[in-house]
Amino acid sequence: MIQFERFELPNGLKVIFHPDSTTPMAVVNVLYDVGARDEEETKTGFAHLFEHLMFGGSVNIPDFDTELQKAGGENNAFTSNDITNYYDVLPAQNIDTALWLESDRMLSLAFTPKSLEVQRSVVIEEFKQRYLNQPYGDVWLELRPLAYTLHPYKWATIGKNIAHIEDATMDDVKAFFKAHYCPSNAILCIAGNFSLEEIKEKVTYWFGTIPSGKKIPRILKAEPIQIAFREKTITRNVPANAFYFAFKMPERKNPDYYLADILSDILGREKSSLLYIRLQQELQLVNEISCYILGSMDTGLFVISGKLSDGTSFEKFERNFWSSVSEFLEIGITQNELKSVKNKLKTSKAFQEQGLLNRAMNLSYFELLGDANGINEEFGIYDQIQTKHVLSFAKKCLKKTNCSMLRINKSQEDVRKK
Amino acid sequence: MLEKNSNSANVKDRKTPPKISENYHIKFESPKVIKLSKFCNAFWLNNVPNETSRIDLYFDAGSVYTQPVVASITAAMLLTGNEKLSSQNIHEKLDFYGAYFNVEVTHYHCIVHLYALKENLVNVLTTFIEALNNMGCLERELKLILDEKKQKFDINLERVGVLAQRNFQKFVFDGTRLSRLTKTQDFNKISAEKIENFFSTNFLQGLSRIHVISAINESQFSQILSLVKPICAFRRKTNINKFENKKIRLHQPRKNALQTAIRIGKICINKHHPDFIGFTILCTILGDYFGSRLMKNIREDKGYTYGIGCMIQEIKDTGVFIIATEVGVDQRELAIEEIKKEIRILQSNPVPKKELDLVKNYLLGQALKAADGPYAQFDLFTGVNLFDLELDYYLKYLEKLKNITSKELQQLAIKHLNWEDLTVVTVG
Repeated sequence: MIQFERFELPNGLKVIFHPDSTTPMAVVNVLYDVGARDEEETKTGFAHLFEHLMFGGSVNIPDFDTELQKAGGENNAFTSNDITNYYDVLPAQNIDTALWLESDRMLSLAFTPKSLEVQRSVVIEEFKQRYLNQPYGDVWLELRPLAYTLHPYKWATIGKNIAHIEDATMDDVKAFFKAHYCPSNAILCIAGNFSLEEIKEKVTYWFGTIPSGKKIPRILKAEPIQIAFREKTITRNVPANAFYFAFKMPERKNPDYYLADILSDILGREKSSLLYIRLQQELQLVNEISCYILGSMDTGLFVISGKLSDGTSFEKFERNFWSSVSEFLEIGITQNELKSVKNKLKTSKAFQEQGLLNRAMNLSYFELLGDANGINEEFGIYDQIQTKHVLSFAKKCLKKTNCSMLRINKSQEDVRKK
Repeated sequence: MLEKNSNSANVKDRKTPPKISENYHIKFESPKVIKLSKFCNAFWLNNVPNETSRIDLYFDAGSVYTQPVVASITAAMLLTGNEKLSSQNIHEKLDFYGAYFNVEVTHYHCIVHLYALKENLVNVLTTFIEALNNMGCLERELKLILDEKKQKFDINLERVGVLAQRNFQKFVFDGTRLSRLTKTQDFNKISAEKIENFFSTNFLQGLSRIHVISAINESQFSQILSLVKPICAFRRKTNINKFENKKIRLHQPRKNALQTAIRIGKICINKHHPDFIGFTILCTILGDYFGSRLMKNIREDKGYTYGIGCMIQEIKDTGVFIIATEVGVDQRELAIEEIKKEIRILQSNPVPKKELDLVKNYLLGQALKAADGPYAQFDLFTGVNLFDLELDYYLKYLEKLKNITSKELQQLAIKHLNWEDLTVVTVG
């Protein structure tokens, strides 16, 4: 059970306080309800580029990192298709430093041209390092636009291409800040050994006078229901043929989301799932096969991916893949399998909740979903799930017509466009 | 702490930082030590405030003790069973107990980590030991693992970072077993017999330490000890190397690469050397935190890279100093020049007081964090115990951190960071 208190400032800032008397450290986590899905299709990669700019100095403080380091702390941030999350971890007695820093950059940034120029180059190098100069690195740049035709999930957080990042202007940056970075669009979580009164006082002091801003209603293009199998084959200079099956799955707030999660654990178990036994162990068609979900606020993806063994054709593999899926849907799931998956979830939840930072991030995320207490109710939901629920979900989800498939064909010549 | 004299929030001073304090209580906790055999100790930390538990098993089964890839393939075979107890049975059992595990192979050890809830810990270890006792090295399982590992290896060779790291390792460890590089052909030379031999000497008789971090009771802990007793090492494996850095400057071009991976470094020192603590502080200033000189210059000023850093990788008899980054292909020489410049500045100019104070504060806060919680405490203990040192090393560290001077750091830079002594490899 994770204890927490919740309050809201008059300017709309939602605050979660999580007391923990066992640690000398404190965490300040700020979640902004903005991600790559809020970008315009002609200006993608912006939420993430903006995250970099949040470290380039705020209206009263020229250097964010230095001030936090002086206080013995460190920080980082990440951007997803749904959210942008910033966190600071520092000795508890210096918590004011983190609140000072976070509140000042919520108030306003310095918007220096140098910061934009440098972070633009840094992000372009990041684009190369993580997506373009890695074997299979551009998979999501290809798979997203195949799986999504209208919804902004069709581009990755890094952006559709480098040109969008190159073209970003200071006006874009300012407009983005104005639209999304304000108290009414943020959730602040503070964790550590404090009292609620202390936290209320500090948060009011630092954040209370920031203008509320206006939460922009989110109007996204809805993704039409998929009715036919989609496929795409690309050729890359990689050592092995690779496959990605992406099935549409329910959005995060849908109760079936939990069934998708359990199903992916059942199919993804190492050395004992049916897919592994049939396709890798018995038929030796693959050298690697795994299953996972991209849990997202809107319709997500349930992914089965892996690499073919040498000499196996896609045609032979796919025939056997689909028949293994049918076999799985016919045999069903045993009580024991489901119990094992639940036991593993229980262990992994206990380990995750060990860390103060994880607790603070998860509380913020659940608050965004509607209620921070969701974190304490989650295991109860998993525990209620029965084999028949998972199987009937599997029958809906693992249909070929619900699937977008990407094949990566190996070639000796790299045909990637410059 | 909070300045409350300005009750009108509008006139609050946002330019002046809040007061900070570096008065931390950092304590270090020693686990209980039990001698299992002349060459195997058990370490138990039971001060865990929740249900989580971890066991680490250290086997003297690192890569230096055998031919290339034998150690890593054997490590991957540990849970593959035999005709009676299949790999599937073993994994299903571990799953049922909600366990997670992972295996890492270093130069000197194979380390198995088991993660479970307290209530299942003994059962998980029982299952693991049962699997070891039934490791039959089946041809079928071996082929699956060889195919999988070989493919992963080939994919890794497509990464410029991996290629640069390999070249670096080859030169800095020149003349020792640590400089051997795995090749794709090595996977074809593996036989069940080789794996079996390595397994029976280095695993079934090769446990050199076990860590238990869990609030289990005494009787559960005794069960754990009896489970591992039969596999304790009864000999000390030795592999003594004399390390001499081979100073090389090598560029390996790569067609179509968008980035060049750079590795710069040399054989240096580890915790046994009196300069070590000071040297780690120097490394922090140069490249081991977000505000380091390399990050400030090469990422935050020039924008040549997504990240750059340096570290000291400690091994048994020595340490390796490494600077690592990936930069745009056109910026390779520019980046190397800037790295060289930053090192020269550390040698020629004392670190300004303001910067040194900042780094001291930062490292002190990080030390508090590094000692927070049972797992962190245990890792600190392992960090000294593997080098036959005591926890008082950290008290010396804190003392040194408070007192080190700019002059001392400059001397260390002159002594340990001569540009001419550094190996520079680039790929892409």
